[in-house]
Amino acid sequence: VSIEDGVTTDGDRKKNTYHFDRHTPEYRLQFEKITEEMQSKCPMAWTDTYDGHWVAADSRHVFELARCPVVSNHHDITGETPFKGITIPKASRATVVRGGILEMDEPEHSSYRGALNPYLSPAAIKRWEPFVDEITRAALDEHIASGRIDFVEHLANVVPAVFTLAMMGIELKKWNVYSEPTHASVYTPEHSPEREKINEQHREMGIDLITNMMEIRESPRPGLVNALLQLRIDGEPAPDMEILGNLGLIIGGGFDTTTALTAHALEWLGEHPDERERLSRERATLLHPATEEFLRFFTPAPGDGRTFADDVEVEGQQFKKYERLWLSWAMANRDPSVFDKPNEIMLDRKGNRHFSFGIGVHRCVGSNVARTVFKSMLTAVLDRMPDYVCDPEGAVHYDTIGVIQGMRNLPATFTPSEPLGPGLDETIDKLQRICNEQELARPITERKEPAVID
Amino acid sequence: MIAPESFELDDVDGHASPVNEDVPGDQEEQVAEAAHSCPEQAIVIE
Repeated sequence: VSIEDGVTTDGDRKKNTYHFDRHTPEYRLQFEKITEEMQSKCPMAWTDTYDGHWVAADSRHVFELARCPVVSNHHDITGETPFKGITIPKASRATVVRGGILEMDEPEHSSYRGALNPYLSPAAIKRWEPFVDEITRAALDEHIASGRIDFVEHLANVVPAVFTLAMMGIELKKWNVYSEPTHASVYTPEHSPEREKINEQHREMGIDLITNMMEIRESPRPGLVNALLQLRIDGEPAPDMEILGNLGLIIGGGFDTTTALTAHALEWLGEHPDERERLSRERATLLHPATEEFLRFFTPAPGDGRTFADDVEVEGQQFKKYERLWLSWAMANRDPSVFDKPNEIMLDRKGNRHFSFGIGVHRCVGSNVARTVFKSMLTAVLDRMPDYVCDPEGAVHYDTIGVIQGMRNLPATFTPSEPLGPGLDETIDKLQRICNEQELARPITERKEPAVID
Repeated sequence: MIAPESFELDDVDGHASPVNEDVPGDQEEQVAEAAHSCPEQAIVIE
């Protein structure tokens, strides 16, 4: 085979090219136009950006490729093989751990996931509802008398963080040690002057996580940290680095995504007060479909990277071993062949088989956490601040949506009212006591009863 | 869940399975909507 032949063949395989750079502000601003263009001209495109990779932009290709056994999530952090996990491009700072189950293939993935499932299943999460509602109440009570709140800083950043730590078995009052660097590292560009401070906070969080892991190994207490420490694979404990990778994934997955969903939904409902009123009034039937519709439309995690583990043909397209692929959940979610009027929010949308939790074996393990926390925050705002008005001048979206489609701020005003109970710090102390006394962080296999808030 | 009478979720891993092989007439509409909405396209009605 001559070089020319190789080039011709490759050029033929990659004839559908598109300059795709999801890390630019333009991609966020022109998301709908780019999505329509790619779906109509090249739903399976090659782009030269970031050393070259494939982009799946419509529902058919995303669905088939996400479920294809040759499409790998594995991340080889030694760099000896070109498996680069789920990020495109690879993060510039040195990667020391894999991203937990999201950067593992079978059978390893299922061993770890099996340890997490009994803490995160629908039945397991349902037990926590009174606990989640109580954090939400306290977060709103901090601001309810003032008539002003920042829905991101004061609500959507707080509740997912406190709840995630509770499930992990980490002290609740540490929530800000974890929350601040987790959000800031997503929205702060690599070369920004704030980066050093955020990296320092990130190190502090890492040290606290390792400290917790060592403490729990010495004297076990219930939660996801313990689940990973107790896990045995072929009789052997999981390596510390893999445990840390999974804990990092739980934090990254649990914090910024639900924050992003809640902020966008509250912003949209603030701009559509009639729909807000209707959602509140008809919540018995509308809350579930509306939650799925907000998930579809705002797709907090817009996609994931993959690596082809072998040559393969999918939907008539040939892929070569070690080529990289971006699966765009966000663009698949706007595919008109699956979603009628895809760029409109319809709170009662039917047949909403959205891609926001991913597809296939790697489907989001925390999807029930996200739904539960989102519904708690949303309904509490509808009940207690039904007339809120967001300040568009103060609303800050992430500049780019390459990693998370998030918001930094969403200030709002509303008619003040009286708090229903104590503020956040006092409530967190109380919830810590309840967590300990009732051992709420045990898996569903060991504890069936819902949390009781006294 | 779209058709809570027709499917049950495993407590431990959350996987859904049908309560019955045969869908009662009054649940047909819900089950059809569940099949239509399933992101994994895993529900087949015969």
